[in-house]
Amino acid sequence: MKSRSWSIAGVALLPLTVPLVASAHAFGQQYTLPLPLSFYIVGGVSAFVASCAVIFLFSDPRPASEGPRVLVVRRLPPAVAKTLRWSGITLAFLLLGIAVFGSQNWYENPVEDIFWVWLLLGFTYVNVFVAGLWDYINPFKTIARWVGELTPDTPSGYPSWLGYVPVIILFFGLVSLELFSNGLGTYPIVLAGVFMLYALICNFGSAAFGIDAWFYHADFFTVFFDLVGTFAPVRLKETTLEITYPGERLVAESASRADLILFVLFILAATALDGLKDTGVWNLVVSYYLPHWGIPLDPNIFGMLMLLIVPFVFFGLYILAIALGRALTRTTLTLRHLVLRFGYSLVPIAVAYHFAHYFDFLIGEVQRPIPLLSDPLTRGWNLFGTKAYVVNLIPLGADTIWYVQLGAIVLGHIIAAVIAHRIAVRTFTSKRDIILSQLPMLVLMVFYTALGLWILAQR
Amino acid sequence: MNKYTVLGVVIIVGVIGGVYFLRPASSTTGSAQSTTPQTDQFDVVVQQRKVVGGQALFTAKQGDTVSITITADESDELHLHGYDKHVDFSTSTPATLTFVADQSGRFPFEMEGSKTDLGELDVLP
Repeated sequence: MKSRSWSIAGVALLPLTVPLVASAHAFGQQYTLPLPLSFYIVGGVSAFVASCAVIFLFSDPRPASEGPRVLVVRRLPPAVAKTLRWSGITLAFLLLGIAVFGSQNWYENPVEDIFWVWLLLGFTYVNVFVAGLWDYINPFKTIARWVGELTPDTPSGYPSWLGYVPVIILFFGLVSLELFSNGLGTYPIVLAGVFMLYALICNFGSAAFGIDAWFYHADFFTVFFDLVGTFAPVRLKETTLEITYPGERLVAESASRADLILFVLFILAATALDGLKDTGVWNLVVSYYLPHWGIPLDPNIFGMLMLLIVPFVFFGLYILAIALGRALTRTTLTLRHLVLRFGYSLVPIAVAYHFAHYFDFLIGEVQRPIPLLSDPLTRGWNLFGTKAYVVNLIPLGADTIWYVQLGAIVLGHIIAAVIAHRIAVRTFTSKRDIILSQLPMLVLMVFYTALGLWILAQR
Repeated sequence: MNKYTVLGVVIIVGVIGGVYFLRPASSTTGSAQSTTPQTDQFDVVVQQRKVVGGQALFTAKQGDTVSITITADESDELHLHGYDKHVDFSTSTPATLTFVADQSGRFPFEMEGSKTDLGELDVLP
C-alpha cells in the first residue's frame, strides 16, 4: 500500500514541478552567463540599505486592520466564469488529443512547452498580477464537478492533520524525479497519461473530502498559483472581482498553517538547488568532498537529500528569526501566532527569485509552440499562419538578463521587507518593538537575497 | 529632516551608485582589449566521446566571428545550443562551424547524435 501510494504520488507529480524544465536537457537550456561580481555586490548592498531604510524610517505603530483594503468590488458576470471554465476544459482536451495523436518528439509537438513553459512558468507570473483565474480554468476541478454530479457522494471534511502535506509530497517527488533523475518523462504521451491519472486522483480526493476541500489543500496547481497570487492587485473569486493595492493580502492575511510556509520555502529551495546543481561548488562537493569524506552517495541521491533538507533549514532559520524577534520584544504573542502572521512576507522573495532564475529560459522557450501550434499533428497544416515563425532562443543579451535578474531579486526583497514591516507595525504597539522585531527578519531576508544572487553569480 | 527626504536621498544615491558601479561590468571587457571585432578560432578534438584535454571552455566577445572546428574519431553532428547551429562531421572530414557571435550568453555544444557534451562557448557582452 505504501509503495503504491508513493508511486501514485510520483507520477501525479510528474507534471507539477517547475524546476524540471531547466534540467530536462532534452527540451530546455539556459544560456545566461553568471552574474558579474559587481552586480552581486550592488544587489546585496541595495537590498540591505533598502530594508534598513524601511525599518528605521517608517516604524510608527498602526491599528491592526480588519482585512485587506479592497478598492473596487465588482460582480463578475457569470458568462466570464463560464467562458473561463469552458476554455480550460476545452484546451485541456485539445492538448490531450495533440499529446496522444501528435508527434512524440518534443520539438514537433507543442504540448510539452505549452504545459511546462506557458502554464507552469508563464501563467505563474500572470498570477502575480491577476489571481484566481486557475480556480475557473482548472480542468481537473471541472471534471471532478461533472463526475460529482453523476455520482453524488457524501464527502467527509478534509482531515486537518493532513494540511498541505499532499502538495509538499507531490512537489518533492516531482522535483527530485526531474532534477535528480537525469531527465525523465518528457514525452507528450507521458504527459497525457499523467493528466488522466491526476484527474482520477482528483476525483477520488473530491469524492472523499469534497471538491473545494480537496482542491484548496491537495491540488498542487491550485495551492501554488494561489500562493503566487496572494500579491496580485486583481483577484477573481467565485462571483466577484476585487481590486486591492498589490501585496495587500500578504499584509492583511495570516498563513493558515505552518506547512503552507514550508511549501513556500520548498519552492525557494527547489529553485536554489536547480541553480546550484550546475555550479562548480556543487560539482566540487559531489565529485570531491563526498568521496573524500567517505560518503558514498550518488549525486542524484545527494540532490534529493538536499531538496528534503534545505527547505527545513530555511524554515528553521525563519522560525529562529521570528523567535529572536519575539525574545527581543518580550511580547506575549505566541511563537506560533507570529510564525503564521509573518509567513506570507516570504512569498515575494520566493517568487522574485523564481522569476530571476527562469526569466532567460522563459523568453526563449515561450516561443516554441508558436510555429508548432499551426501544425499540431504534423500533417502539413498552417492553421494560424505561424508555421514559418523562427524561434529565437536568445532574444536578449546576457547583460540585459543580468539587469532583469538583479532588478527582480532586489525588488522582490524590498517588497518582502515592506510587507514584513507593515505586518510588524500592525502587530506590535511601540516603535522600539517594531524595529527590534524586524532586525532578525532583516538579517534573514538579506541572507535569502544574497544566497539567490550568489547562486546566479556562480560559474 | 523629513523621513521621505531621507528615503529620497537614499534612493537617488543608491541608483546613481548602482549604475556607476555596474557600468564597467558591461563596457570594460571590450575596451580593455579591443573594441574591433576579431575572428576567434577554436578547435575541439574528440576521441572515444571524450574531448582531448578535457571539456572545452571557449570565450569570445560579442560581435566576433567565431569558428569552431571539430575533429573526431566518429561521424556525428556538432550542435551549438542557443544559436542552434549544426554541422556534420565524419572520421575522415573534420567540420567547421563559422558564425558571427551577435548575442552574448553561455552556449553549450555537443555531439547531437550521441548527446556527448563537449563544452561551452561564453560570448561576453
